[in-house]
Amino acid sequence: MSTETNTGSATAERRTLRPFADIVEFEDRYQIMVDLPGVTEDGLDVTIERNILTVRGSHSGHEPEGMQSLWREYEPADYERRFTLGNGIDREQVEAELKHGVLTLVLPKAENLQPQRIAVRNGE
Amino acid sequence: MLFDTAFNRSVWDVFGDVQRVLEQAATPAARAAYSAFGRDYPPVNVWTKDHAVAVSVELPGIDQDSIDIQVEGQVLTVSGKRHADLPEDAKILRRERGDLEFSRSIELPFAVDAKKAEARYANGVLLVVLQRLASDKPRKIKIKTD
Repeated sequence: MSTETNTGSATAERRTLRPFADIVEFEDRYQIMVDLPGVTEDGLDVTIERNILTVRGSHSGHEPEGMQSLWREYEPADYERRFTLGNGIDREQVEAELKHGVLTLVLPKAENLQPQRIAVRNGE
Repeated sequence: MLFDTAFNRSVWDVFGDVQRVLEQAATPAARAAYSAFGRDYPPVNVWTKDHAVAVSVELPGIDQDSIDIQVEGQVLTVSGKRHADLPEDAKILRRERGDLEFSRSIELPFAVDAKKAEARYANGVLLVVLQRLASDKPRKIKIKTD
């Protein structure tokens, strides 16, 4: 007979949550700030496919080593969120920065939004 | 100061998981917003081993200078604030993260030495490690025999 002790193992199944995000618009770019506590650069994945930007962050497991859980109010979670991008975004120039558990995405607006005049050739 | 008087005091039990937690939310708005999720803000985890106790809190984007950690005997109080890092000249399309001011007092399993406290803020997680006060450690009492 064996008893199971709760050691707060980091290999336990983790939930995936939808993180909170703020979205702001500047004249020349958009900016998205996403709360991803406990996520490090190694665990962060930002991809753009077609017009969907996906942010995936996995928790780094910051539990103090060798210690036993005495009181647990939160479970470290993984995060995932998708954003749909409009056509006005220059996808090649998207930047991402992770600091203090907050991911800041900078999405520059595409320059070709200005109407282009098409010259008409005289076919005669 | 307002205490949540609905919380019943329970006997401190070192061998179990029982711990009394006092929570003070500095702003009624913050408390209302978070308690909509049915939780105290911010949620904390407490760890222990031998004569050390650690408290972790997830606080993404907190202004590090505003974090205040106080230790008094057996109570640890963590407070701080996060103000909007939203740029002023931008148009806000979506606002979910919000400003917060918080303060939480946590009763620890034993009295700790404030001078030996260590705190680390990394990846948006604050970890405070405290050592048991030497004078608080249990002492073996020798039984004299005639």
